[in-house]
Amino acid sequence: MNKPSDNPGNNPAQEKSTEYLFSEITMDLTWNTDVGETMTGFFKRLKTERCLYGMRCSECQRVYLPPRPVCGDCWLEMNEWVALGNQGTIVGKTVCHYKILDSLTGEPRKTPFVLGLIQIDGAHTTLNHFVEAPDPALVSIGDRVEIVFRDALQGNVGDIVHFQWLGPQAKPGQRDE
Amino acid sequence: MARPVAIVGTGQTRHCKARPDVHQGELIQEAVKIALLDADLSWEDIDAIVLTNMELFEGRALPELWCGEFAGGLGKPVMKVATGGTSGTSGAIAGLMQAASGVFDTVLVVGWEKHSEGSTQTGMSLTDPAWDRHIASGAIGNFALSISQYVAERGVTEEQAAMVAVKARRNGALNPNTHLKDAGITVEKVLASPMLAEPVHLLDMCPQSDGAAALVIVGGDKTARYKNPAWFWGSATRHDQPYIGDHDQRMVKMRTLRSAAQEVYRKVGISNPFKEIDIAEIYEPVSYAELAWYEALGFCKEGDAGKLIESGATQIGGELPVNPSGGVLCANPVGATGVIRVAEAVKQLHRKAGDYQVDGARRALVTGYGVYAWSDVMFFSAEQP
Repeated sequence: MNKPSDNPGNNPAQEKSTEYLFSEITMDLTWNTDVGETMTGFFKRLKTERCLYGMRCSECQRVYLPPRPVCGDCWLEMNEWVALGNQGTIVGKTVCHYKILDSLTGEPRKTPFVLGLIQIDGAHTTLNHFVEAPDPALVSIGDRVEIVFRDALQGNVGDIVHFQWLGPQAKPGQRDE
Repeated sequence: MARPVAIVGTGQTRHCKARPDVHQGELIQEAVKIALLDADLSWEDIDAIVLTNMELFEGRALPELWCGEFAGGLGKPVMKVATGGTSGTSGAIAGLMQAASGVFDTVLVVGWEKHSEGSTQTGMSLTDPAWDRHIASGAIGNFALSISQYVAERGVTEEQAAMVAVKARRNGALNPNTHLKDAGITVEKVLASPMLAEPVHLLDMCPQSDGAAALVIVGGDKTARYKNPAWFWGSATRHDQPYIGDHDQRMVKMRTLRSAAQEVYRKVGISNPFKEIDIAEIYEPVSYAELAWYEALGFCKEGDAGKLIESGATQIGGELPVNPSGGVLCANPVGATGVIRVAEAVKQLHRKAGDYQVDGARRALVTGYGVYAWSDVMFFSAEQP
């Protein structure tokens, strides 16, 4: 609740005409969302092959991660699975200083932490993820990262724990020297 | 459009951090009463009602059931539009189209949100549970990632972004309805505010607000009695692919907004938006977004947004005032925010904007924004189409 902590709520002892009541409800519920045919195939491949797969559009050749059965741009059905690399490039980066809850533990994540917009090798789309680096200030757009999978894969998106920073990408021209 | 339609009344609550004194229905009742008074109409004059609200923020399902009667909806057709940040503009477009079709003569559009009742970050994070929910960082982290690309591409500075926040809060200080107001704000103060996610400072972001806004739309013969209706000339809506990572260089390219703006300019005959629009009310949830939207809307050349804010042209008194009301950076009750953009543009054409009235405002542009994947663009004029 975002209500002020001194709000009397439904405490009649503090009842005043200028203080209003509210109903507080905490819900602990479970949802079971079907991931669908395509993502079932994606997670089964992830679990057995330790590899992410994208879906390629036969028209525009764009490779989508996460895979899906339709290319929105071309209004075409897709069915070509493409194995992606286990590394990628940072195309957007921020260092977060505000508290957000870790969805796995329910505890606030320790700050500061690095959030990256990552393009995995072989995919045209990007994804947000946590980047582990010795110092957040070292991480820049263009740097290379590697997927860190959890040891015992479960076949869900939590198998990607974070991305490990590998250091700056070789600058153009340096690679040939 | 089948027939001309205009907005003839607007009403807003005083948007603020929390309104514990009213429930959602009582909140919208305030805005509706002011809008009806403004249009010189009463409850029985309304033929149909469009509600706009993002109910997952309050965690109360079916707001059209709980709140319809507080908008005078009993015995009338009531529908709800909920498309994220564009809810309010999409709801306004729906209401305008209903009146333009001739099915209804007088339509009421009401948007609202009470962020104080729920958990906004949770609402923002309810993305695909199979793919991106476990790494959801809410709006701020996503904005910061997009902004890092925009900054890398365009070279805009933290100071230029802070100038947007300064313009907004100084304008907001002139607007009795808005939430954040600071006549004395400076670029230094924005840059000294806490860093949330680099390069976004606290004062670069919009607030979470409680508030409601209403519009009265009339078509056909009903427009005759009004002296200066705000005529609706056209709109365009674009939806895009679902995952935020689907949009290449999303803030730089912003293809939904760019494409919708081009369609509207073509429909209404605008070739130089910067010269031909008198005032714009655009959906800028973060300072950097206003700079990126200047480019997407063609207010300046690609890469010149930083220069445009520095020039002062988008301030009140400038060549194209943008968000003279203070904009989303001053008040963001999400389901109402798009309605507020329309209401503020209309107030300028009605010459009822008080201390932030733009002299000679006759042609107004409005935009709505929802996580890059949705954009609405609307155009209003004092002149009848």
